[in-house]
Amino acid sequence: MSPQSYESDPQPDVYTGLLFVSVAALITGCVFLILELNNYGWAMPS
Amino acid sequence: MTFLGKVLIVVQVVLSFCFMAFAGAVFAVHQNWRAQFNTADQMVDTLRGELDTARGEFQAERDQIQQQIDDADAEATLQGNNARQADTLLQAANRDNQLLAQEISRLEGEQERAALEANFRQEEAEQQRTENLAQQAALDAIQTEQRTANDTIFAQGVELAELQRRFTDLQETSAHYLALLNQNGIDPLTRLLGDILAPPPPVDGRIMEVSLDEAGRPKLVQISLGEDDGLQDGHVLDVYRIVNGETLYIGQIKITSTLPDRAVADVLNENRNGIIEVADYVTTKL
Repeated sequence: MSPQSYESDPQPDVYTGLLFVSVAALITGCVFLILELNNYGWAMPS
Repeated sequence: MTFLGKVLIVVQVVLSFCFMAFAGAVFAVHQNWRAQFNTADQMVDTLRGELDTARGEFQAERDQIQQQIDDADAEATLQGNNARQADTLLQAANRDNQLLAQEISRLEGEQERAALEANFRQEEAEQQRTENLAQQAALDAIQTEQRTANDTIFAQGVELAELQRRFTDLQETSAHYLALLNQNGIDPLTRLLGDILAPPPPVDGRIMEVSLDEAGRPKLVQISLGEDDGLQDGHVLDVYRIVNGETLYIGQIKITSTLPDRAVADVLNENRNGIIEVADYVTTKL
């Protein structure tokens, strides 16, 4: 752990934006998977 | 931020997009395998039901067909028996038919023979009718002759009665004469009847043998007539010969000895027209 600094919060850069985009893509993929599992009633293969 | 952190972020972004893309693709092109499974399961159940129904129907149909086959077998057996019986009956009928054909042939033959016999009988009847007519005519003629003969018999009866009456008168006269001859001592039977010679019957014969005397002239001849022909000793016969269709008178002979079938005679008039030879004719008719 780095020592607590008192500097101001860094400004969001492009990588931060990329992380939000990545989160959005993951959420979208999860929604697709949930919809797909709805079709099967959430029945898991035994 | 370090360079590694930046790279990891970029990689995370890329992978996140890949995850989203794959999940979207799965959702976009997915197929509901459960629904299809249910549909297929229902279809399988339906098909099983149909299969069971079909099996039941098949079994029923099979039983029915088996029953029909059994019935058909029984019917075939019955038909076979009927066919055998019919065959037996047919053979018997054929035999009867052959017998009837033979009987018909025999009857036809008998009919032909009967027809021929009927024709023959008819012809015979015609002949018999003709003969009956001829016999009827002959019977009429015979009846006519019988009537004539009856008339003749009646006339001869009358004549016989007259002759009997005359014979009775002659017997009475003869008895009277015999009584007179006896009274005068005369035997009439020996003297009178002994000199009487009955005339010869009309007969014809042949010279069988000629006997010559010392001079070579015929003296005795043997002829083919005798006592059976009515000749007696003393009868005189004429001798003749037939030359070229003309009768040549030769002479006379006199019977001196007789036998039943031949006689010996003396030659009386010799050689008037020839010498008596064997095979010359003798007769009492001249």
